[in-house]
Amino acid sequence: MSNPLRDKAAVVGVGHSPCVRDMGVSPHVFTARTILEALDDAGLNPSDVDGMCAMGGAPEPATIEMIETLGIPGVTYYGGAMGGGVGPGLVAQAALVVAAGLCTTCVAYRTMAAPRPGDATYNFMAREGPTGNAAFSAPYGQGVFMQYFAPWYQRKKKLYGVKDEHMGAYVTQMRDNASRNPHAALRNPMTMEEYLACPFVAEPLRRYDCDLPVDVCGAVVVTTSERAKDLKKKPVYVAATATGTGPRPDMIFWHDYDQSSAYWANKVIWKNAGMGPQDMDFGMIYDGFAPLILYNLEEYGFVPKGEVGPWLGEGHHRPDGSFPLNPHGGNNSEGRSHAIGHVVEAVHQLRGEAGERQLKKANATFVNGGALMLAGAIVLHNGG
Amino acid sequence: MDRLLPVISDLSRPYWDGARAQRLVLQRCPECRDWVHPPRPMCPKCQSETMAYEEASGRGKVYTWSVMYTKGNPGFDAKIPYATVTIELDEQPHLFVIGNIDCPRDQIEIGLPVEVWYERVTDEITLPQWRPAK
Repeated sequence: MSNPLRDKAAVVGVGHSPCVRDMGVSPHVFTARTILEALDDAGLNPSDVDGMCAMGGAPEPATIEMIETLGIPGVTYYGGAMGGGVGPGLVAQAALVVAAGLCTTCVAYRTMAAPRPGDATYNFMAREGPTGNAAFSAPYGQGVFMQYFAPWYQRKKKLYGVKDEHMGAYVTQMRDNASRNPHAALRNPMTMEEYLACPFVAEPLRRYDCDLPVDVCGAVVVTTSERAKDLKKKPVYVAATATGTGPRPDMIFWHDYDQSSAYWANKVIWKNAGMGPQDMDFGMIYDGFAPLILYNLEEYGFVPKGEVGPWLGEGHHRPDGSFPLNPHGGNNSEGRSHAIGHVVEAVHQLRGEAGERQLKKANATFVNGGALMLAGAIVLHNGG
Repeated sequence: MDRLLPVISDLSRPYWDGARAQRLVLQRCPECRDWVHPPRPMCPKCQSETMAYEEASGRGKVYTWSVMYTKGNPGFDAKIPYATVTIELDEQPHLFVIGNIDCPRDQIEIGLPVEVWYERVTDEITLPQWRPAK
C-alpha cells in the first residue's frame, strides 16, 4: 500500500535573501521580507497562512513574532525545533501537518546571521565550567564545533580511501556552481591547487570545507496539493519526508562513526516516496561541512559504501555529470543556511526557473539536511 | 585564560574521584553489566536506575583523531597544533573516551594500542590521558 501522505502536500512558494555578511537590517526584518517574497511567489497573502514552522532561537525570530509582524490573523499549527536538522526538516514538518489537515497553508523558514563583533561565534561551543558530555571533552581542548566533525572525517579518509583531491573536486565545483547564483556569498572560482593549499582548521578539515556564516533567510510555503493547482506557480509535490537520529545524543560520543543518523531517515524515505535514489535527476545534498556529503551520498543509497571518494574524483556531481549536486553551490559556497537554501534551489530547478544554473533534466530530486546526529530528508517532484 | 575544567556533579563524582586517585573509573550497570560513558542517570541498555562505577583496564585503541589548528579552546591556543584522540576502550565496542595523546604526531594512527596516564591539573581535577601502550 502506498503511503497515504504521498503527494498530499506541495511547495507553492519560495523566498531567499542574498547571503551576505551584513544585510543592513535586522534578522527580524529580513526574515519578514523573505516570507513575504515566498508568499508573493505563491500568489498568496499573509492572511492565507494558518501554519508556521521555525526553530526560532535568536537571532532567528520566533514564529509568534513573525505572525504579528506579517499580520497573520492566527494559526492552527505552529512548530519547529531541531527535528530533522533544520531547513529540510522544517519543510518536512510543514508538509506533514498540511497533509494531515492540521493547517492548510504552512510557512517554514530558517534564518541565520553572521556573528557580529562581541557575539560568541556560532562555531564556538567551549564554555566556562563544562557540564554533561562537554565535561569529558572540553578540558582536552576539544570544545569547538569543527572538532565534533573533524574526527569523523579523519576516520572516513583513513578507512574508506577518501583523498584531499576528492573533496577538492567537490568544493571547487561548488564555487563554480555558485558563480551562477546571484545570492551566493562565494562566487569566485577556486582551483584545485588553491583548495589543496588551504590551511587546516581542524585537520583533516580545511577552511574551504566549512560554510561561511552569513545573514540569510529562506522561506518555503507549503499547501495541499489540491489547492496548489490553483496557485500562481507550477506545484512541487512532496512525495515523502523523513527525519531520523541515532541512539546517542552527541557527535563526539556517538555510537558508531561509520553510521550517521541518515541511516534511520533512509530506512523509510524511499519506500514512502515510491521512488528510489536511481529516480532522482539531481541531488540537493547537505554540505555545511563539505565532507558531510560523503556520508549523505552513501547512506541514502546514491553511491555504494566506500566508493564516494573516487565517485567525486570522476566528476559525477558536476552539472553535466551523471548525478548533479547542489547547482546553487551548496551551503559550502552559497552560505550557511542549514540547507534551507537547498530546498529553495530544488524548487527553482523543478520549476525550470534556475536561469543559467538550470539543469537539463530536473523532474525529481532529493533534499537533505542535518548531519551525523540529526537527519532530515525530502523527496520532491514536479509531476513530470 | 586557563583550560576549561569540568563541573563535577553527583553523577560524575566517582569518575573524577577515581582519576584523582590515578584510576580509570567508569559507570557500569550492575544489572546488565554494560559500560556507559559519559555517565548517565539510567542505563541506556536496560533502563536500570541504580548505576554504579567500576575500575576499567585503562587500555584501548585510537578510534579516530584530529589536529586542532584554530584558536578558541581556552588554555590551548599556545599549543596549536595539538591532537585530540577518540579512544575506544578494550572493555566494550564503541565505548569512547576523549583525550590528548603523548606521542609524536606521525605515530598517531587508527587502531594504535594506548594506555592511560594521569595529568594532575588542580588539587581537585586530574585528567585521564593517553600514550602508546608499552
